[in-house]
Amino acid sequence: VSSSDEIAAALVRAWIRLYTLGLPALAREERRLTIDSDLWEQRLDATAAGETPRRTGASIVRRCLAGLAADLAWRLEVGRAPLAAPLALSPGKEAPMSEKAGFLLLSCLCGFGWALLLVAALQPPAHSLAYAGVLVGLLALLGWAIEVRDGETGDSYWPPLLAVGIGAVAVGLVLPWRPAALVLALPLALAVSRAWLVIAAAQVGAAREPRLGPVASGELTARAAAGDGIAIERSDDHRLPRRLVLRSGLWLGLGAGLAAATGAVFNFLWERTPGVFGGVVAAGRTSDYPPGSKTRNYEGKFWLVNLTEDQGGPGLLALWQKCPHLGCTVPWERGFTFVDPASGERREGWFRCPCHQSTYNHAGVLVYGPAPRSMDRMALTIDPETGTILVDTSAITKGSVENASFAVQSSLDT
Amino acid sequence: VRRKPGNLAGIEPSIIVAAADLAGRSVREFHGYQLAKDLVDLGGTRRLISHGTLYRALDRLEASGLIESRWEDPHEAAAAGRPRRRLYRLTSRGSETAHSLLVQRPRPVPSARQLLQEGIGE
Repeated sequence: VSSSDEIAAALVRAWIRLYTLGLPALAREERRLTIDSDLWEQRLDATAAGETPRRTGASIVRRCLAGLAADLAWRLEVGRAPLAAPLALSPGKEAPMSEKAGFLLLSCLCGFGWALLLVAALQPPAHSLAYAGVLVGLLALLGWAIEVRDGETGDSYWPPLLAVGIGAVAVGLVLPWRPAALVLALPLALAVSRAWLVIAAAQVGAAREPRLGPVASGELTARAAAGDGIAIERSDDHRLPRRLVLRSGLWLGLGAGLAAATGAVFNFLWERTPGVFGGVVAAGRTSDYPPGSKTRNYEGKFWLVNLTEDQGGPGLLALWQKCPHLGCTVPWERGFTFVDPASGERREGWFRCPCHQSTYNHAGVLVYGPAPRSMDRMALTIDPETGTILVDTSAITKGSVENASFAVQSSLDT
Repeated sequence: VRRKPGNLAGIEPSIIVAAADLAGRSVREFHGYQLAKDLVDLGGTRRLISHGTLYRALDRLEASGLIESRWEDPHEAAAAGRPRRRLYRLTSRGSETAHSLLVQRPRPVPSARQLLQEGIGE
């Protein structure tokens, strides 16, 4: 049985074999031996310090993951001509990532995304929300991945994080199975929050640590020249560093964003029937529907039709928008002319399915096309006092040639 | 980020300073993991630096002539029962660079530890 640290070391070796593919055998071998020795020394050191193999394994894996980008960069450099230019010192060169333009842009995009998300969250069609959530989540992850460069070492964590982000999007888009999305989204969200907390804590910890005091320059050089150990002195400095403020702001912003994304996921997964299709929909008052009007109700997925006497009324019908043939949404075609089979006259204005041209009259009665029956009706009731129309979208009756005779008349009209 | 060859960037100055620190403690030659640990001990990094970043930096520094490396004697390694170590040491130019890194900072000159914690060249 292999212990965790051995498995981790084997993983690192496999990765080395992978990224050194195609290099000269000597260079490959040297790289392998170099890191092999490092792995061995770390495990020896950890054993001596009494560290558990699991911890050591985790540390090895982290070191490997954090170095993926650098490994690839190394591979490219070795492939090119060796660096032979004379060396010059260049202090003040690299700005921290969080102050670079690209990162600012990403942060702005994230902020914009969150704002969009908030707006979307306040509006009823919630399915687009999930996509927005996934997209914004990806942006945040990306921004986070860029920021999570170890400021001291330049270790970059973006390749594994990008993989996670893309994986999350793929899962969100491909898997229609909601519990699966939940199972995958939740640990991801938790992992990201945990990482944020750890980093934030480290930042705060670093700021609280007493600052180190100056050593006289002459003394230091003298000691260094003498090959002496370099002195370490401490003094207290309680100023709040600008960086900490900036970073906390960044983390708080991203954290709020994550919370919003998590909320959006739950919002998406939450099943809501009352008030929308599948429940009872309040469709306003009878006075909102003048005689002869056809009004689409998007929430309840029906056409509210106010039939005139000429059309078989008077009365209101809620016709399910779904064609009984193959389920396309049937539009009201105001300008479409067709011979009315009842009267033999050419008449304008029909319900006509765009898929196979099934054609229905004002009351949704089938007059032409492949549909097996007339449009289906939903149960419609009118509050006699207020005139409020309630449509029960779960009570659907199959359509028949007698659709019009089921039209509900309002007592207020008479 | 593309860098001009020969410029010290990222972790490289910290490595030079840590190597000088090791040399100051009479560790003339060191292996990679030893350096990674010394960086943590000095406060240059919070956690052990990744393999990729460390050995890429060491390769670059070797190419620029600031450090040099050799492989440990196989018999010595076999006697100790370990894989051969790759041993690095500062060249004389490397030592000069380490000194100038420690001195060229605006006053007051910080300690090596402070220098490493704040990051060099930022």
